[in-house]
Amino acid sequence: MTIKMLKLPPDGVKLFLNGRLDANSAPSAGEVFLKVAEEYAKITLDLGALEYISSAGLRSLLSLQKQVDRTGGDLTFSNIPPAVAEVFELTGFNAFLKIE
Amino acid sequence: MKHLYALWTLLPLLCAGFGFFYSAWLFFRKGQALFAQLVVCALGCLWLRRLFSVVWLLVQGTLPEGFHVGYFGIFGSLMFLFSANYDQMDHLVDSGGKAFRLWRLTALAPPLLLAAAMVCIALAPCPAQERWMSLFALLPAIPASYYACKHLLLPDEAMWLLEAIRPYQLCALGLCAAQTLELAAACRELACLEAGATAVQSALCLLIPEVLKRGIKKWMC
Repeated sequence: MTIKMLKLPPDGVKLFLNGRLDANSAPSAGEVFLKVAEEYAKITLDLGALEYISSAGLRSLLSLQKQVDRTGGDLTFSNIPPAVAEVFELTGFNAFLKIE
Repeated sequence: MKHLYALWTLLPLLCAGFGFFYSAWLFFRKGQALFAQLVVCALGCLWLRRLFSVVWLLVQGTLPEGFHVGYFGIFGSLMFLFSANYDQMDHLVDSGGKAFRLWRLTALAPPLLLAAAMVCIALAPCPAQERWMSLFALLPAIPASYYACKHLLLPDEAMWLLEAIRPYQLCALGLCAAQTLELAAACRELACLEAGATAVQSALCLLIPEVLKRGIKKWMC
């Protein structure tokens, strides 16, 4: 999986997730998420090119949401593919994730 | 004896009713997991099936025989149990790699056992209508039990999602088995086995809402 970053001054960033967010890629993606959450207050995750998300990937997104909540930042999910939207609905995550 | 018979018909209705209405109160709210809402629908089908039997008993004085809509309650409940675990839920926890092949194969055991029970129904000396309706109603038990067993067994590394709902999957598997046993026992006129399977279903209807509530709460932790 690849993550591209686009800085949105003064304190925002947009991350473009591309590929599969699964048990293999979730740990490294989780590290990137945590670093980003420490540095930026406004984070947007663009999931448009996300091909697959596993439960491990879902957990890394949940961890990011919790980190952002702790630091008082703002996390938005955008461009969500239908399959990922269904996963959010199935698990009830759409209730507390901010979705554009 | 007549009172005992009436009580034995009423008890599953009360248990299924509790399971359905309590879980509907818990999960039919905005923002609740669709997974849980599908399980509520399964309990709703079970309740409607029991309600039909009790109403029939009150009106006709006997339990329904031959073709009746109660079979659709069984079919519906099993279909909803299957739908909850199928597709997105399954893709979420199993990316389709070779690593989980052993667990997938092991999960075939319950559906094979249920298929064997269905062969017993097909060969039972009961009226053809009852036999074929039972087989039709139980058909979704095969995929439902496969996915329930698979999600019960799959190893849980980062997959907290499955770990949290393993008790529910055990209940779902029990519900598939108990419904199959109940109909198989009815076709074979094994009253004790039928009563036992009904009692197990009633107990599971009482358990499922709480077990599911705790599991889904863990998803958010």
